[in-house]
Amino acid sequence: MNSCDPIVITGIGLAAPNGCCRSEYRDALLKGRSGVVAFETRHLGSVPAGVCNFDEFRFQRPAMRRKGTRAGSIAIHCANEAVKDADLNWAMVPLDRVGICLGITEHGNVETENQIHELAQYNNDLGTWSNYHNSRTVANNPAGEVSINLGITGPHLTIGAACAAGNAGLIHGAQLLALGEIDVAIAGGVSESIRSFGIFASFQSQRALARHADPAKASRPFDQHRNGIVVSEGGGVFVLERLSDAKRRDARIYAEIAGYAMNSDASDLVNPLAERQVQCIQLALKRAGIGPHEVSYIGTHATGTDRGDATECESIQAVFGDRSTLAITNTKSLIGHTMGAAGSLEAIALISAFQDGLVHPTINLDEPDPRCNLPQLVTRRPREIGRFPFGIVNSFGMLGINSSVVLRRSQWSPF
Amino acid sequence: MSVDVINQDRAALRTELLRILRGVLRDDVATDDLDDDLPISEQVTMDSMDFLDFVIEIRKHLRVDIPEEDYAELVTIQGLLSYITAQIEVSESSSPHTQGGN
Repeated sequence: MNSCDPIVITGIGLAAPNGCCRSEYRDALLKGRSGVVAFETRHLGSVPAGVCNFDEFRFQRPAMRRKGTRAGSIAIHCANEAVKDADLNWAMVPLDRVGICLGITEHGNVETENQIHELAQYNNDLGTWSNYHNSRTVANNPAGEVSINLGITGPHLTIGAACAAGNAGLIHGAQLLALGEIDVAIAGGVSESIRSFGIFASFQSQRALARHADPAKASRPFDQHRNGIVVSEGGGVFVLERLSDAKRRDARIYAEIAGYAMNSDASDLVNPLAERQVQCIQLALKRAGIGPHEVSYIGTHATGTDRGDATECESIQAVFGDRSTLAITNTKSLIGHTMGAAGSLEAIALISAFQDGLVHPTINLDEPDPRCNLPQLVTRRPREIGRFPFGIVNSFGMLGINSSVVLRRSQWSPF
Repeated sequence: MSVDVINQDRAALRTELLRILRGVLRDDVATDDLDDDLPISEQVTMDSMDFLDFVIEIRKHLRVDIPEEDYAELVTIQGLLSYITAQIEVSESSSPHTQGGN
């Protein structure tokens, strides 16, 4: 993007349904181990969902956790892990020069539903309504909780971008760095959506909620028998820095944000549009200064909906064709749709592939939908592709929001 | 905790209030040695939002109405015990069918 001083990733923190640190997550992806389980939710009963298991009190005091939100808790876990991973000397970091940019699909549903449910248990006595309801439900909550937890006094932003939010957080962090507004970005995406029955219920009403007797087989992007989305919680947070700063402190550099793009379908509330997705991907490639033939890895958005998967495959085919040296994969078959975290967790899988040269498989692809039968899809077992320079992550969302991020393998501190 | 227990056993009510307080403050708050006659906020780390949270939780757990103008009476354990006991007595005499909530 900025050839003078690229923006690079120097720290990674995550919470995924099949692993809450990078090694555990990577191992699960490569072994095809699903994190989707049966989950009890209000009014709907048991639904397949991705649930993260990390120690909420490792980085947060119980009293603060009680006042906060699950999204805040996930964000705090991921941000602390990312800062540790970046090996920043936190005591020496000017905290007014650190910014937080976290993407979210939605926020406030969980707390609002819980409060209304609880209110009914107390005969609608408004005196029982929590005095923390507003600080939990304001849109900046997850990023704000990170700010308080880490003492960061620079800007904190929570970016609403539906299911493109994981990429959007990363992009906004990179932009703040490029503008010189901050020197370190804590950027990525989080989601607490499984705690809201309304999210599940609406997908069910939309006939887009995945169901399967075996929860681990419910999320099946590209498969002929897919029947919708598995809602999951999760988080993926990065430490971003300008290359010059990272090199100055001899940081480990995972990858460079080589290019990105966001655009809008401007056509429909829920249905995607291949034409705009193509434009988004092409713009990201153009900004990275590369052609489609230079991309070796695509982390797809595919969520397991009939129309969404087919549309994305159409877009990918249009941009990249049938080139056999390309590997296409997806994390949602293994972790469900982590909503606001999806793009970030997809990007973490790509970064790991830069490191180990392996592309993890998309599971549950037993009978490919002919509209999704891309020859480059990696299924059943990992594919070794060795060292490769570029990968791209797609993340699309409702209201027609599209995002693509091109990452370049680190040239400065190769693994 | 039932109203009967509250009425019968002031010590039980005190225990219940401290349990609610620990539930609100969560962190390792030592409540065993609290002086009932001193403001709670002087003995544990508790800001104004924590106090409101505590009052809300008392309202939920003990099903007592606590108007805002009465908050000044609730700053000590002793004040809480007297206030809640009186509230329950009023509730019992004025609305026997709804005492203690549902």
